[in-house]
Amino acid sequence: MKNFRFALVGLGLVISAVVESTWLTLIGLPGAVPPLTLIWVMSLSLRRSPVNAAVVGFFAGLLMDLIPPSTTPMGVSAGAFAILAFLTAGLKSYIEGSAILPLAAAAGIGSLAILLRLFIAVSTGVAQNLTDNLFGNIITAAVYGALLAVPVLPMVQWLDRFITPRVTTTIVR
Amino acid sequence: MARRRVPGDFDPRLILGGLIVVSFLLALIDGRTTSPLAGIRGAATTILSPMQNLAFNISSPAVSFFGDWSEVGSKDERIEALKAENDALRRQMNGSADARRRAKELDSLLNIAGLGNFRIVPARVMSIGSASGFGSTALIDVGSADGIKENMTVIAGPGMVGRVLSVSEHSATVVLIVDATSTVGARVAGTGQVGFLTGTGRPHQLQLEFLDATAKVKVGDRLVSYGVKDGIFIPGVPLGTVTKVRAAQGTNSQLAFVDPFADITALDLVGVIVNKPRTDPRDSLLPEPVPTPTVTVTVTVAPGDGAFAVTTTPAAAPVTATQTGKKK
Repeated sequence: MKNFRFALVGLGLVISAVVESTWLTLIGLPGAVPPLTLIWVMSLSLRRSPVNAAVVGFFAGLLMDLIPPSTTPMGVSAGAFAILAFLTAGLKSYIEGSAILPLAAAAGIGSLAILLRLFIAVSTGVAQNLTDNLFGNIITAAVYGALLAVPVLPMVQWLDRFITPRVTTTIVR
Repeated sequence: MARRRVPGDFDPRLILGGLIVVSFLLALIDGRTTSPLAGIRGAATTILSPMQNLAFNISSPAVSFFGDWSEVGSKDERIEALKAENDALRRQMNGSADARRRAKELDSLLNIAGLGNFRIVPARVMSIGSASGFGSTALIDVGSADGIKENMTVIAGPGMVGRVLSVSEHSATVVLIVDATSTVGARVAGTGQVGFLTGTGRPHQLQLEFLDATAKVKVGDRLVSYGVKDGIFIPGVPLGTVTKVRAAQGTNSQLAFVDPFADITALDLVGVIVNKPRTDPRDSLLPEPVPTPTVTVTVTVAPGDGAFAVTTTPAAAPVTATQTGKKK
């Protein structure tokens, strides 16, 4: 059952990465590509422990580094996604229960992902076109992140609840 | 009281630190020119590109719709012109607009292939740019099964798009000429001056540096690829038009900025040149230059009373304005 759950989470991430790399790149929106996979990871992180979220974020980022036609060196998005997923899971008690904070978090994560990728890329000497239209990309990533969070966050959390077995507690008096 | 750790229960920060270290190591290793991890990327392409192809085929009509929608601002400006063409468009409504656009692009591709004696494999762009924002690349739906090999030149309608970076069985990744890592040998049509055209990461700006420091270029000059023996790019493929020229910093040579002929932001149908023509087509593939509108002002002075008439006539258009007055 645990392996089945892992496979479903993985499948969800692959679908979001495929959608992000095809539909969302081809519709020609200005600025950054809407960060669907990142918001997917954030949604999962809100239901997981920081360690679990960081591992999911790492592999989701690795997927984004590898999906064609990406030429991003492996590890750049993986590191950024792992850090952001860890932070999201760590702050979930503050984020949950508010209508606005999850959207603000999605916007912040969208922008932070660009800066973190830039930091890792520059640190490892592989920066290519990242600084082009950096400000525009940061702003648009924040906007797209918040907009995507509106449908993606409840949907992913519902799916995650659906595949996660209900824990029943028996109180013995 | 602090929670007691059980065996196998690691500090979360330690796990995160480990993942960050692994990420940096991977980036360092994979960022090298010849990455030892290229096999992993190849395997990922083989697995993921059929899924992308499927998603692309499912979404194609929807993407066309949203693509048009995203241009709504610029289309507003053209409303007046579109109204004038309304009758013509109504006649064309029976056919699919998307199919017509593709037919036009294919026609353009076949035209350039015929003129240059190129054998091309047409392909559709499934994805543009990397989803994570690095590099200017595109994924096309033809691969080694269609005869595509690494470093083949890719064209789209009026000009060069880039070269094939990597190939899987049914897809290939193209590095676009606007990518910051891309360099193409370029020759100025007419003068024959040669230099290197490099990408800047911006879709409408390439940078040209000359081999000869005394070489001169002017705005409006057009460039074609410059072939060298055993070079990557096919010679004679149109590249773009010079839009700006300035002095290179610290030298006497010129630095030119070039707008590529191919619209990198709206790639759909492209062609991969699979043969190397025996002869260099030189400048014969260059698209016809767009004529610059010229305005003719004619002043006619009437004999006797000094009355004059000023007539402004834009090129290829009837008289649009006439002003009359009295000579002082």
